[in-house]
Formats: sequence, C-alpha cells, structure tokens
Amino acid sequence: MFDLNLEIIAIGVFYAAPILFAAMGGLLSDKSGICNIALEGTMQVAMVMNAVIAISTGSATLGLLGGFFSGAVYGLILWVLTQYYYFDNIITGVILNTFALGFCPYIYQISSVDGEKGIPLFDKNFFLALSVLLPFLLHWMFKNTKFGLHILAVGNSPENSRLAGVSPKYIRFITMMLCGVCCALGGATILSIGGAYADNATAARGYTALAIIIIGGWRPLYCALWCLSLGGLMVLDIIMQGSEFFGFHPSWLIWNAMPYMVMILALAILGNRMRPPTGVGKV
Amino acid sequence: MIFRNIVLLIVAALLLILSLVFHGVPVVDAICRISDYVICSPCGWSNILRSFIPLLLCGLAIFISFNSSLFNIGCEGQLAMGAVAASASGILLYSYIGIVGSLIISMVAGSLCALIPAWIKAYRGGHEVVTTIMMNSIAINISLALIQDPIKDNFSTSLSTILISEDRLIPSFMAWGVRVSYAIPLLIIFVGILRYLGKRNILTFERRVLGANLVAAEYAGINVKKLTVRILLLSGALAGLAGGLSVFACDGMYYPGLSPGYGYTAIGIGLLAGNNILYVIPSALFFAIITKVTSSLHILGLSPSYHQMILAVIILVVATFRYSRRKF
Repeated sequence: MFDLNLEIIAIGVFYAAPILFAAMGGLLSDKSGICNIALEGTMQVAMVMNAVIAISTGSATLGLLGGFFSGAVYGLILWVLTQYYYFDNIITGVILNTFALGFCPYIYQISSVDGEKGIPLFDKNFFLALSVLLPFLLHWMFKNTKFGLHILAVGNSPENSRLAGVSPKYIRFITMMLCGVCCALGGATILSIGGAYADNATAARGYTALAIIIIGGWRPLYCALWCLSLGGLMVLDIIMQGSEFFGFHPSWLIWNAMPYMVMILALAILGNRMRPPTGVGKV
Repeated sequence: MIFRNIVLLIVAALLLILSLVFHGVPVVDAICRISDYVICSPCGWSNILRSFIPLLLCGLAIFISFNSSLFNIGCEGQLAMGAVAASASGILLYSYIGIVGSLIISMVAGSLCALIPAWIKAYRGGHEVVTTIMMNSIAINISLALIQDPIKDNFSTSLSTILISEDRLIPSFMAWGVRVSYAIPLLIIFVGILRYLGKRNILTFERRVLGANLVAAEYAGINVKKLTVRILLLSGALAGLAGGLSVFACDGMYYPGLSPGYGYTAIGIGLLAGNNILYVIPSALFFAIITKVTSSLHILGLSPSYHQMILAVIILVVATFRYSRRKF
C-alpha cells in the first residue's frame, strides 16, 4: 500500500517549503500586531509578478526582485489600511485575497507573455536551503536583536511601546514589508517547483500557514516542524490516490481535504494552549 | 443607507468606466451594450434575481455573524454543503419529506459545517476565521466527492448531480417578462420576521450585546460560549439554506460552479447593511446587479477574471464606510 522512497519524502519537503515561507511571513506580521489573512493573496500576486517579469526580461534575478517588490507593496496596502484608516485586519485581508484572485489571471493575460518556453528561475534547492535557514534566523532575531524585541513589544502592547519611544507604525511598516518578501519567496518556490505559472497554484497554502502559526504557538521553530509534518501529510494525496482504505475507495478529493482536516483537529486539540500576541488588531 | 448606496453606485460606475477607458474600449458604446444586456432586458433581470436569492441569504448569514463580532468567512463551503445536501434529498427523499424537509436538511448540512469552527472558537480558543476558511476547502472538496453514484448524472459530460424534475422545484411567476421565483417574496417576508424578532427576542438581544462588548456581555451573565456556538450555527444554517434555495429555486442541480464566490461577495453585503437587518435586502440587490454587470464585461472582450478585481475594490469601498474613523 505504501511505496515510500526518498523521492516521495523529497516531494513532501517541497510541499512544505512554500507553506513555511508563508508561515514565517505571517509570524512576522502577527508578532508585530497585524493579523495578516492575506498571505494567500500576497503569495499569488508575488508569484504572478515574478513569472511575468522573469519571462519578459529573461532574467531570474529581476523576476525574483519584482516578486519581492510586489509582495512588499501588497503587504504595505494592508499596513496603510489597518494603521492609517483603522480598518479591521481580517476584513481587509479577505478583501485583498479576493482581489488577488481576480488580479493574477488578469495581469498574466494582459501582459501577454509567452510562458510556453519556460520561465527563467532559480533552482528549487536554493529556496529549500533558504527555507531551512529562515526559522532559525527568525528565532535568533526574536531572542537576540533589538529589532526583534521591538517587534515583540509592538505586538504585545502598542500603547506601552509608544510610550517607551518605539513607534508601532514604523516597526509594523518594516515587518509588513518583510512579510511580503517572505510570501514572495513562497510564491517563487511554488514557481520553481512547478516550472510554469498556473492560476491558483498556491492551492490554499496561505490559509494553511495561518493555522500553522496558531498551532505552532507563534514560535518559529515549532512552526517549521509543523510545516514539515504537514508536507508529509500532503504527500498522502499522492501515495494514497486510488488505493483501498478499509474496503472502499475514497475519492481523491477526500485526500485533497485531508491536510485541512488534520489542521482543524490540531487546532481543536492544541488551540487553547497557545496564546496569541496580546496586541493583535490594536492600533 | 440610501446615501451610501448612491455613493457606491457612483463609485462602481466610475470604476467600470475607468477600467473601460484603460482598456481602450469605446465607453458610450460599451455602456449601451452592457445596459442592453443586463439592465434593460427582462432576461438580464431574471439572471439578477437568480443570484439575488443566494446573495441575500449569505448576506444575512454574514450580517448576523458580523454584528456579534464573529467572522464567518466559511459561507462558501456552507453553501456548497447545503446545495449538495438539498440536491441529494431532492432526488432521493423528496417523496417522504417534501420541499420543506429538503430545505431543512440543507440548513442542517450548512450548520454542521459551521459547528466545528463554532466549537473550536467557544471551547478551544482557536480563531474562527482560520477554521472557517479551512472548512471552506474541506467542504468544497467533500461536496464534490459526495457527487457519487445515486445522485450523479452519469449522462452529463461535466460533474453534476441529476437535474431535479420541474414539479419538485419552487415555482416562479412572470412579472413584466421577468422570471421571479416565489422564494423571493417569501425571503423578504422572512427578513421582515427576523427584523420583528430582533426587537423582542432574547437571542437577538444577547447577540447584539455580544457584538457591542464582550466583557460587558460576560458580566451581564450571558453564556458567551453557548451564544457563540448558537450564532455560528444560525449563520451556517442560513448559508446552507442559500445553497438549498439556489438548487431548488434556480438551478435544480448541484455542480462545481454553482456559486461563483457568493460567500465572499456576501462580506460586502454584510458590511454595507450596517446595523439594520432590513438593509440587507437592498444591499444584496445592489451586489447582485454589480455582480451581473461586472461578469458581463466579457462580452466586451475583457478577461473574465476581471470582475473579481472590481468586486474586491467595491467591497473595499464598502468597508471604508464601515470602518473609517478618519475623514478622507
């Protein structure tokens, strides 16, 4: 029934890498006090801009930088709306997700680039190495650097940190940009694994990242572990297709829904042990 | 409310015109063609009223959850589950339970979808936004997987359930050439009843207290956990009913594209309605018109995904009315 080999494990790791990037981006914004639901949308927008710029200029570096830039801009839209116009974080995030759903196919269509010949991209192992480094980097940053402590302060009590001379708006400006860049890295990983652009290729990984942040308890290393185990679960989708299970053949759609079910189960079991940063959503 | 709607109509029209100019389409000609296609034809109005039914119910679901400061983003999945449950019971169980029973089954299916997020929110502390979004993916996948042998249309090339026969569906009447389902007047009466109950029902009162101030609600002796579960169940039931009615009053079957994002569009309806449940009706009509107009842009040769963008921007403009504390 199981045909486990190294190749399939590798597929699991590659499934996990984009989720990990998105989760790290979400972690940064959550820790600084903005609940970012728009991870999915940011990934999609960064991915399409990455693909379009890479194809039209023929340069992988420019494409990646374009993805970073558009991801950061998308993060900054959320920042402006929540910090300057006091919108609700969640509603703004959902709106940005909906916008990205229409924006991506549209941009890809009107730019009329030829994606058939392949997109100039970095190797997927490059992103994999980055995804291994990133959680450790964030862990170190939150523990040891001044900027990391500022993020924690702003995320837990914006008012007190304002009194202490740390501007929440400024810190959140930087974290939202970094969040956009992380999501752009996730999008670039999906691109380089797939090798071509497809609409909705993110396949709700941004939403999964949201759940992972919660069950990882807003701790980077735990989140990374959860991402890896989720990647393993997503491989089930490939292994189990068409196989018999207690005497009947479940549809592949059920296996598609499997990771989300496990996430919800994990949320139900671990949900109340985890405490979010207390300043999320406060201005 | 009326002022808001007028401003929004102007903003929406400006957005459309701007996008047309941006694409180099001749504006006057385009407006004439779109209004011929959507606004000035009975067929267009029939289509608008078809999408009005699920939009109204999803808008109610979102309105109820928003006003008690719970975010039910999972309307899309609840709608899909309600629709597949309704079509299954319409095919298999109709002779036993009739149309009312089928609709109740769709409501139960929708609220079952909301039960898990509600329980996690109330008793385990997980945020309901994340769980409802995940339930969306689960519910849509499962509802497609449920289209199996007894209810699947084996003669159709695309995945869908068997078409429910005409005499089992909710009948419709013609008014000035526009096909109006009898469900629409019933729904408007239903909203009126909800409004009436809103002034004298304990649940609604507690719901509004919870939305206004959670701490005060706890001190006043309201059982917040139980209330959270109840509100999300009610919201899920309404979204499930939206699915059931879009099967029984519009399409007669369930297929993957039944809902072109009604659950997300309804967020705009819930926001636009503000504090009065009666305002859900004009908001839903407004969004039904906008959806039809923007999705008919493809006759001008624009990308079909374009309307999603415009809808998102319009919902954003709606949200500015609700949330801006600063004057623009």
